[in-house]
Formats: sequence, C-alpha cells, structure tokens
Amino acid sequence: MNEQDQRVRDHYEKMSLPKERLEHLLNAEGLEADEKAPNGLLARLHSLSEHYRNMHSVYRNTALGMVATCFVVLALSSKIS
Amino acid sequence: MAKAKLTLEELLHSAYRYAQALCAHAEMAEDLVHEGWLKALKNHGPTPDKALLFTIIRNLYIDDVRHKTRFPSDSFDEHAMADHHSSDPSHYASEDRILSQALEQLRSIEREVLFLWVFEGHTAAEIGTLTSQSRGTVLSLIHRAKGKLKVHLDQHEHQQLSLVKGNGKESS
Repeated sequence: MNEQDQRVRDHYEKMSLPKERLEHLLNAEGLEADEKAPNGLLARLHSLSEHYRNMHSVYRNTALGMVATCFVVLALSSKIS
Repeated sequence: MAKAKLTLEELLHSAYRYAQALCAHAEMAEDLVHEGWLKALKNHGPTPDKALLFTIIRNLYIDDVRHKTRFPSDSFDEHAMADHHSSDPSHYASEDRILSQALEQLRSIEREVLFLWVFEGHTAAEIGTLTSQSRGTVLSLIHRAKGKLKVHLDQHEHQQLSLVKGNGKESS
C-alpha cells in the first residue's frame, strides 16, 4: 500500500457515525418508533410533501407553456394585422 | 451482549464510511445509514449482514440520485446546504481537508470502488460482484481514481510550495 492509499485509509478510518445518531439506531425503542412511522402521520406528511413537490414542477411547466403560447399568438396576430 | 452491541456499532460505523464514500456528504451519509439500517432490520432481522447493509445503502443512494435527476428543482436547497457545509470544517470527521476536497471531485462510482479497494480490502473481482461490474472496469476505475487524486494532491503541494517561496522572497 503506497502513501496515498494509506492517506485515504486514514481519512476513512477517522470517520464515524455521530454518537447521538448511533445511540438512536442502537436503541430498540427508537427503532420501534421509526418502524411505526411509515404507517403513521410522518409517512403521510412525507408523501404529501412529495406530492406538492411534484405538483410544483407541473405548475411551473404549465405556466411556462402558457407564456410561450401567448408569445406565439401575439407574434402571429401582429403579423396578420 | 456487549460484544454483540460493539459489533453492531462497528457495522454502523462501516456503513457510515461506505455512505460517505458514495455521496461525500456527512448529513446525507447519516440519513442513508439511518434509512438503510431500518430497512435491513425490518426485512432481514436484528443482525443484518454487512454486505446486505451495503447493498441496501447503495440502492437507496441510486434511488436518491434518480429522484434528483427526475425532479431537479427539488435538489436546489440540498445543493445550497452542501456548499454551506463544505466551507464548514466542523461537519467533517476527518481533518484532512485537502484529501476531502480531492475525494469530492471524484465520481461517486470511483470513490466507492476506491473505498472498497483501499479501506475494505476487497479484490477487484469481489468489488465487481458487489457493484455489478466486470473486473476490468473495476481495475480501470481504481486506476483513474488514484490518478485523479494524485493530480489534485500534487497540484495542492505545488501551490503550497510556490506560496512558501513567495513569502520567502517578500520577507528577504
């Protein structure tokens, strides 16, 4: 193993999951709570926010489409007149 | 019991390192491990296998990348967060900032392969099986990743030397 590989190895060696998160994951009660969450309020909130995120991009694309259509109509009408 | 807990702790730390190698972002890595761990416990019992946990984390990461590609507007806030964190050294467990920056510049697949090779000590064939690639592809990815790292680290060293020389001339 050369010096660079050793440096990469040391870099990853120093990394560790923060204590708070580690204890939460090792804690059985915490896990049970998290396991219950997908069927509960948190999961519904999550899916709702996901829905609004998707709708946001749909609305944005529709608005852009309408603006583009307006420009085309204006350009055509000015040409005709 | 204490030994089993220690093993689970080690497993979680390994998973975190692997997630860091995939995404190069501390908080995202934590979330990947959290979600992957819960999934592993739910579907595969209280003592999940290391390879299984790594595969779950990898799949979650790929799903996340696909989601961001499909809905690019969603990732706006996360990019801002990443920039903010990259300027704050307290968010990095490692103090080797130069190497962190160099690793961030690699593609995620290169970081992953390099991690599995250098840190986990897998052979190219094993990495190929884990990441569904041929041995040749794995070897070329490792070679490319090491080359990019070397270029970045040499560049930084060169800059440091020229800075020191510049300061020496000014002082004389």
